[in-house]
Amino acid sequence: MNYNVFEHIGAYCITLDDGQKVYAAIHPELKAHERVELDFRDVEIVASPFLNAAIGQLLRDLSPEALNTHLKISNLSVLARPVLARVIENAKTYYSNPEYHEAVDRVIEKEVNAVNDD
Amino acid sequence: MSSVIIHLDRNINDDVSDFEYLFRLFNQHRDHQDKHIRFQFTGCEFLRPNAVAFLGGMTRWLRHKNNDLVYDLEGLPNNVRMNLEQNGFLHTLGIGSSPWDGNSVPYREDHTYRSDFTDYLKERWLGKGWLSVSEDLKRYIAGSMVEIYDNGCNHARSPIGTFTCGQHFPKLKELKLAFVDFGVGIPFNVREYLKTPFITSRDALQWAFTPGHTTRDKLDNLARGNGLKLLTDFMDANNGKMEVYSDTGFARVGRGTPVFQEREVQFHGTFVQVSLKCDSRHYTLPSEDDFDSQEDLF
Repeated sequence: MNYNVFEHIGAYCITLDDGQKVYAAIHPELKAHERVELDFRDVEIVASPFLNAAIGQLLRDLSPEALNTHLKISNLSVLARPVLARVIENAKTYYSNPEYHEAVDRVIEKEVNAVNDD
Repeated sequence: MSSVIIHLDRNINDDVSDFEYLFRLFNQHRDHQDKHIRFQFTGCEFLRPNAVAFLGGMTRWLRHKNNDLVYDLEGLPNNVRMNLEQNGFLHTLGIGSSPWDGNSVPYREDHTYRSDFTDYLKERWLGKGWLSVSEDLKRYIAGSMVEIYDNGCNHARSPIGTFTCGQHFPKLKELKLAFVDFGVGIPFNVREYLKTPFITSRDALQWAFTPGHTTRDKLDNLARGNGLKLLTDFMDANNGKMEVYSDTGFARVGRGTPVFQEREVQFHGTFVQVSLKCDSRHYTLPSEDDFDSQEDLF
């Protein structure tokens, strides 16, 4: 499957809702072990809410190995790549351990309360 | 209907004390309902874009509470009036001539998310030649900033929307953009998310600035929370500065060690101001990971 992001979303890929549209299109293909190319040609701006929904969310039930094998991301601008890297890093931590996020919150909550009690 | 005068009696710059002056003014008048309100500017010879954005929000807030508002244009100092006309503030409120091109990034109001905000950032803020910035980097900055806007429109719970204004200061060689919503504020969302009322606003802001932290992922079950970090990295790498006021919390990143403070004056909303240096050097991205290899993508 070749998914042209510009054709479906446009030049600005900003919102979570738009990211969700991409996810809905490519996730079933990837679940079925089909190859997907996500082509960002002519896309001008990519923001992290979009990437979180479109790509980060894939890590919820697909392994990094499976995604490296089956998902190809092409023509993403050089300056959007660090944003995607951060989104993937964040999503890997978040989805690989469902308890992680709540655990972090609990620790921070305790620390903050301790500071406030001083 | 009883009458009230809201008097701006001093110049409004963009130091902490200026923001607090605006917040005090709002707190003093925010509960008015069904009143005649007159804005007077005697004593105010200068307004920075933070004040313009804030006054726009304050105006909409008071109209939202069914007050009848009048701007005392007769008493408006010429340079303030020219500023408010040039950036489109008076025109947007239906009381002035059409804006014209100048050193302003036009005043705008958004009651819901609009995709043309990205054009506004790209063309009216970053695209005027005030910054020595490549097309790619312009897109990166706009992409990071639009996430702040997305938050303001979709998550801040502001009944009147968001308000933005900017200005290029040639003598200071600085470009500013001020963005404010009148919603619940970041600390409120953090307290709600962490299920504890005991976090100070300062600590809540610091939590929100931590990469990967967001107050929204329990709602949509998505890993989130990159916008503030991306902007922080950019400010650090380019001598820029971002200030955030929300509830009684204050955060400043860029140009030195990050600052997180608890302030006395409360603002129920979120105010973000970004200041970029307009010197001759090219802006750079904080870090460019090598993404040529698809093998390392995930």
